[in-house]
Amino acid sequence: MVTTVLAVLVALGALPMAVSLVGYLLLPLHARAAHLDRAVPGTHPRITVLVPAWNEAAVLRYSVDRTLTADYPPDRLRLLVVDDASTDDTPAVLAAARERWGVRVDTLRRDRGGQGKAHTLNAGLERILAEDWTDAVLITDADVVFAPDAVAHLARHLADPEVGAVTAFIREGSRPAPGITRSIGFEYAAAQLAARRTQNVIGAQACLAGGAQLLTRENLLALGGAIDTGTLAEDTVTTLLTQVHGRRVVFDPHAECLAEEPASIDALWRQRLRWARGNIGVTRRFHRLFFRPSREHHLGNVWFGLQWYCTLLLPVLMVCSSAALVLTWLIDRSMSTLYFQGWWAVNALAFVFTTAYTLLLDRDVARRSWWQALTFPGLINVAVIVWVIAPGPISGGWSEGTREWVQLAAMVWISACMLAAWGLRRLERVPRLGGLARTLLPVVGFGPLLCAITAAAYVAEARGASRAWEKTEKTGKVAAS
Amino acid sequence: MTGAGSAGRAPSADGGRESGEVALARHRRFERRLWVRALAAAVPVLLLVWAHAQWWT
Repeated sequence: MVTTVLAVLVALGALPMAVSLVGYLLLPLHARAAHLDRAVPGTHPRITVLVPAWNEAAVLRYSVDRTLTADYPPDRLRLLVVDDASTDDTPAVLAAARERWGVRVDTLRRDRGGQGKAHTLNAGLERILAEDWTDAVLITDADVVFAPDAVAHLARHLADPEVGAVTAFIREGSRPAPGITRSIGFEYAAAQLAARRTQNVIGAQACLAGGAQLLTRENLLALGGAIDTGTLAEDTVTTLLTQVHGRRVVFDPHAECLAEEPASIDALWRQRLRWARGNIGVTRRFHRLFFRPSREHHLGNVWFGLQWYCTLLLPVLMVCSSAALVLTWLIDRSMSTLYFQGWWAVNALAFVFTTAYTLLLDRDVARRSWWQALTFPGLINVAVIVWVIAPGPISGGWSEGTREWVQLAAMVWISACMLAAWGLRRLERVPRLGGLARTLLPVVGFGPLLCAITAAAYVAEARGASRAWEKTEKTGKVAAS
Repeated sequence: MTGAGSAGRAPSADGGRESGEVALARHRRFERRLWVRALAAAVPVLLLVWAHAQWWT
């Protein structure tokens, strides 16, 4: 009985990679499910690009001009920047933009800022929807730079009246690109180019990219003409509500834009903590949608639900799995070796296939982020994979005792790597040791860091920590590229 | 700007209907060939299995 329970707990730790692997195996079906067969080139609805801005002078100078020079009929593309009571040069930058672009640039300044992105967006939506001009609203961020053809690629899907929203591929675009942003570049390719394609295949999208979401006027009105302000994950709430109301959400991997992402462990931690806490809130609110078939939407799809919960519960699954492996080691050494090798075999095979597939999806990511892709689980875990795959040359000369103790250490590390990632964040805050922390990140792993952040989100939610909106700082590194 | 991108970008489109159709055809072609990438991604997996069989003991 005990060994069965332990075996189940160990297997649960392999579930996230197995679910991910199934998602990748579904990818080739995207040829039939990409919605490209219902997209009509030359569909040019009147679009207002809505940009919330708080102290964004460094990035707005560039992104406004790039957006308005898109390959899209100029008389059908406008921009509204909502200045969230900025204290930097944002008002001056916007005044200069209005002078350059005339009626195509509109601005709105809020007297009271800092309430969060959703409040800022709603101020803009109120103005946009009060007039008849706009057919669709493209919600973006001030630092996002669209490829010249991206808006047209997004708009072509609106020829299908069933579509309520379309989202683009957000590419990490900081130049120069330190290791962390390269890791994010790879992660974005896996989470968007792969996972969102699979979500297209099953017909259920988890999240419109916050920096590139094209919403039809009808959809916005059905959502009450406003973005939900009671969440830290307003883009996810918009995505799910759109589908609950029976409208389709489409991801177009060929519509691309660049965004600047955090370059330090601490900045990444704060950004992702907000995302993870937002997703916990979304799960509380929408949990009845998962695993329940509906005629209106496909959010009840089994793979979709498994992917959602595996992401959310990853730290729990890793700790359970690690603890179960250690307990098995204490009870029965030969059994523990069997579980340990089986656990790593599933994870290693899935890791190699999904990593290779992701790099094959995008040459740019492959060129820039191949090292970050290989070290995503951390060099220590990669060493364990090599050991499990080819134990002969590595541990052939070890005594039985040495092999067993190394195996125990590897079992503990499955969960301890999250603590190590948390430690790196603390180390980065120590003066003059920030560089060392970032250098050690590939050893511990970007994946364990993300897992640790999710665990920190549980703690923050349990403690009822403040939900104040904390904006990620943008410095204009995309514009410099 | 964004490098080669996921489908390899053609010379800049000018917003006209024809270039949009060319782009759409290119994107459809890319999606139809995803299975080729799946096969290519299976190669390192097979190498891994071979290495495991080779150096298991």
